[in-house]
Amino acid sequence: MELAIQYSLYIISCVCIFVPLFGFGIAPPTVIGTALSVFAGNAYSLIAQQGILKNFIKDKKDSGASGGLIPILEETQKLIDGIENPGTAMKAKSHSHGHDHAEGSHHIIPIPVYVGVLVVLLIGTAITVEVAQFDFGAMNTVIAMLVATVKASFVLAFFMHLKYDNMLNRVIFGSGFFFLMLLIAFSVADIFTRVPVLKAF
Amino acid sequence: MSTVKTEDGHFHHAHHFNSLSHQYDSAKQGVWLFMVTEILMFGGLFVAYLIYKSIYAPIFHVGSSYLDVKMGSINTVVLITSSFTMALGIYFNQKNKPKQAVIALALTIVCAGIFMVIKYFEYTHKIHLGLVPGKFFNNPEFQQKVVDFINNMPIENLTPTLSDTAHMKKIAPLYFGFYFVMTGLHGLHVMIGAGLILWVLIKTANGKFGAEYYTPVEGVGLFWHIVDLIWIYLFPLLYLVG
Amino acid sequence: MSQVQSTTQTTTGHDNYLNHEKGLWSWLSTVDHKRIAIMYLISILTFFLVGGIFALLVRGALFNAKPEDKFWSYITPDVYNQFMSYHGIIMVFMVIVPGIPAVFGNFLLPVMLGAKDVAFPRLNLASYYVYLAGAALAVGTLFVGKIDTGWTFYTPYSIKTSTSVVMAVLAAFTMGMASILTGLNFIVTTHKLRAPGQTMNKIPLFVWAIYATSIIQILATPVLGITLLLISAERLLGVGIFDPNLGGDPVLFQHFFWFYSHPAVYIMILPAMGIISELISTFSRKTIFGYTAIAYSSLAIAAVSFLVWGHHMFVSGQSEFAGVLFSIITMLVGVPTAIKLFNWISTMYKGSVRLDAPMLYAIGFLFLFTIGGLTGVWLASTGMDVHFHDTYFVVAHFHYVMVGGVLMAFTGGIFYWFPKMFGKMTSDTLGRISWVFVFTGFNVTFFPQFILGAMGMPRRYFEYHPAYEPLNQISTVGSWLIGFGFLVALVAIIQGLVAGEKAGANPWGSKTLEWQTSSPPPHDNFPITPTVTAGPYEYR
Repeated sequence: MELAIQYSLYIISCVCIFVPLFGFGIAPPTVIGTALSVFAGNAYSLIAQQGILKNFIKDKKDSGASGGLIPILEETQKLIDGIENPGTAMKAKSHSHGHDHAEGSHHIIPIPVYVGVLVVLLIGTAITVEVAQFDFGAMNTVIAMLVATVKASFVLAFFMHLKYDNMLNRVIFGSGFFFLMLLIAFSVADIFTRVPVLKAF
Repeated sequence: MSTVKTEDGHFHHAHHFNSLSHQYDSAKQGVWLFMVTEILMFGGLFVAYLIYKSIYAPIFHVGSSYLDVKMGSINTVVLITSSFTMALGIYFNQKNKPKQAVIALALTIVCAGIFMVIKYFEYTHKIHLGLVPGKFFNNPEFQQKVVDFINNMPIENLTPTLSDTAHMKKIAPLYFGFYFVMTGLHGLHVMIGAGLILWVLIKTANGKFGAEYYTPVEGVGLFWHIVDLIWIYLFPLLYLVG
Repeated sequence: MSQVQSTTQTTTGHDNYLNHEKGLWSWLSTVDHKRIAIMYLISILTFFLVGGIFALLVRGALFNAKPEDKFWSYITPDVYNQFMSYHGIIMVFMVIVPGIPAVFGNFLLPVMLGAKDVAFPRLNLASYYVYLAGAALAVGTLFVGKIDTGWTFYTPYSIKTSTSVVMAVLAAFTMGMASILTGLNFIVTTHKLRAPGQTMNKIPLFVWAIYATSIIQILATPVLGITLLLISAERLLGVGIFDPNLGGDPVLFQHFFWFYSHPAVYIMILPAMGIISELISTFSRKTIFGYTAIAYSSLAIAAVSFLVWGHHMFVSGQSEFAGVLFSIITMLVGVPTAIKLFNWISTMYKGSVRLDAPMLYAIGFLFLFTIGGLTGVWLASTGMDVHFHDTYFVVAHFHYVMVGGVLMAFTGGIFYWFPKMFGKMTSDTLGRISWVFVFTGFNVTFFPQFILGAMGMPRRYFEYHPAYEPLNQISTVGSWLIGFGFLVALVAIIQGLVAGEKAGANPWGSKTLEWQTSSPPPHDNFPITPTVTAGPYEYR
């Protein structure tokens, strides 16, 4: 009889601890985070691409208001313009269509910049090989991946033009990486909790 | 391509786009989406590699000592340089300088060729030594080295899987399975890329591109840079971190 | 108030995409998205017929429990495994995954966006031929070494079996490639080719659904690609990545396989849900309830679908920790789906509902998909899945969502958009008759399978315990009813093509853009590019 009571108390306390931990700790934040970021993204795209903020500022100015919030809003709009069109933030744009911006995508990177990136990459390769001579134990892989990522960001930003490209292409590329991380994370979550893994690799 | 040819010296955009600019942005977005798929495809291989590396670390450690770091480094330098010349190829097209563009693109193909030649030497060397995937593997020395490495490891680091040295001896060829599949798939992409660059080179030489329209060059360039990117990750993982 | 500010409607004998150019070669070399959609339709209906015949053979073989009673002595256990594998491979890779995006996405996406074509028309044609090449390879395996691994190609059996697995996985790889190219095309079209005034908040929900589907296609299919290549490497070179004897982990194969295949089932269902949004709104003559919620729930389903694949692997040997993780997240993915369901029902409430054939299929979807979805939640619970995994309960669950969901939406879509695609009306009576047989037959076939599964009958078994026989026989009779129902639907389509009465531009009185141009649409979709001023469902 005591056994039954003890077991049931044990089970109830486990449920009370673990369900909230897993239930509230991992999954809902994921779902809520996704929902929030989607709403935020939509709001941002409304501002950035449909000029809602711009129209609002214009209306306010037209109706004679001044001071207060307006300079702050104008700065925000300039910031967003800078993100959307790094090359042409100062130029006037036409919003007649519902399409994304085309300006700023024909920015030509000068040759000296390319040469500079090449030099950085070659130095990076030398660093990679040098650092590999030393043994940092489990951090070996991490350090190697970090150096590789730095080199990769230079290739992406300059050779592949992402620094001067519009936000959407960066989001597209980033999402590919993000979902790869998901694959790694969940597969590792299974394998590492099941198979004995070498402690220092 | 065909809708944007310069018969009368002008570039005409396809009829369902509003302008050349519109077409260019859309094409670029399309190529980036395709690059995402390439990353996820190779990424799957990387995931499998990382998982098995953490389970069977000694095999991967000994295996990577059989790879020639010098040749790998040269290949890395070659590919990075080819990325540079590819970027130049796009640059010269943007500046309406087809002759220089052709030279830059040709240099890129040369670099790709050097890469494949070095790869060929690496592969033939391994095949000669019998260090090939799975069923064709024939190098007991490698298997013995793995066992020796495990026996020399401190006991507290050993997992039950690793302690079974007979099993570890049998599955040691797994490393070369990974090596050949990963570098093989990458090498295939290098060859495909070289073919695409040749196509773009021929069109540049025929005067089909210019400052207003060079989209295929840029698209091929993006593909080539992804190939380079993958090697930037492949090289340390396979050759260095062992 | 229609969605379009200015439009002209031409009437009889006008130039449309069907008579724009004549001759077989003009079809085979077309870059017109509408013609490509029709070619996909013909291919997909053909493969559906073949997959359906395999289904009838499978159910026929299961009519009797004991091998000596089976209706055709040619069907041995090995042959049964082959029939069951091909039913799965053909239906999954050749019919349902391409299905709605390839046919309706291709035909309608540009028209609903007011565009002249998709972003990359030649790529569109290329994806069709890549799809056909993959399908040819798959059909080719029938002659080289029939597959008996099941459509999931689980290791280690798929590595050891002597059938033509490499050819089959290359076929799936090729069809996956076609899927990626189509998805890529649709994403860029949705981003870049919307008509003036059409913001993302004014596009029809069908477009939102196709957009979310395309995102999944881009992100998930490559992982299937590498998995299939790895099986080939394993078979050809003996790499050892999935073979335990050589150090591999068969469960890793399942992780990689289901990382694609679970989002794949959302590739199947999301476009179907898009169609249902259109059908319910039009046939209730009412603005869709909760447009934003349905639009974002499509994206939410797409995102969360990548986090739940382990629920196919609860008893595979994966760790308990992973099992718990996947179980909880799987239950959450039902939430956005339920949001959609409630919104559709709310749309019908106080609407002016017309029970034409497309609407019958839509309502059938609501009923059948709910059952399928709810049983999915049961399967998401690890405790219940231990009993239900690999039983007929799972088979019933996924047929309820795939056939009761996707196929009902597909057929409803055919009857709904038939006038737009061909300029003729189908016989509504024939449509309704087909629905009666499909709906009834479906429930007769698959509801007993829930009971069979709960009673413990394993799936993919050729010979089973005689206690299960009566329900199996009911199920088989149901399959004949479904077959007859789809046959009637085919007759309705052919009758419509041959002798249907001429359709106007907007026979259903819908408000979305595709109905504001003539039926069939002209080559460039619209006489002049429309300017969008209102939302897509403004009926009042």
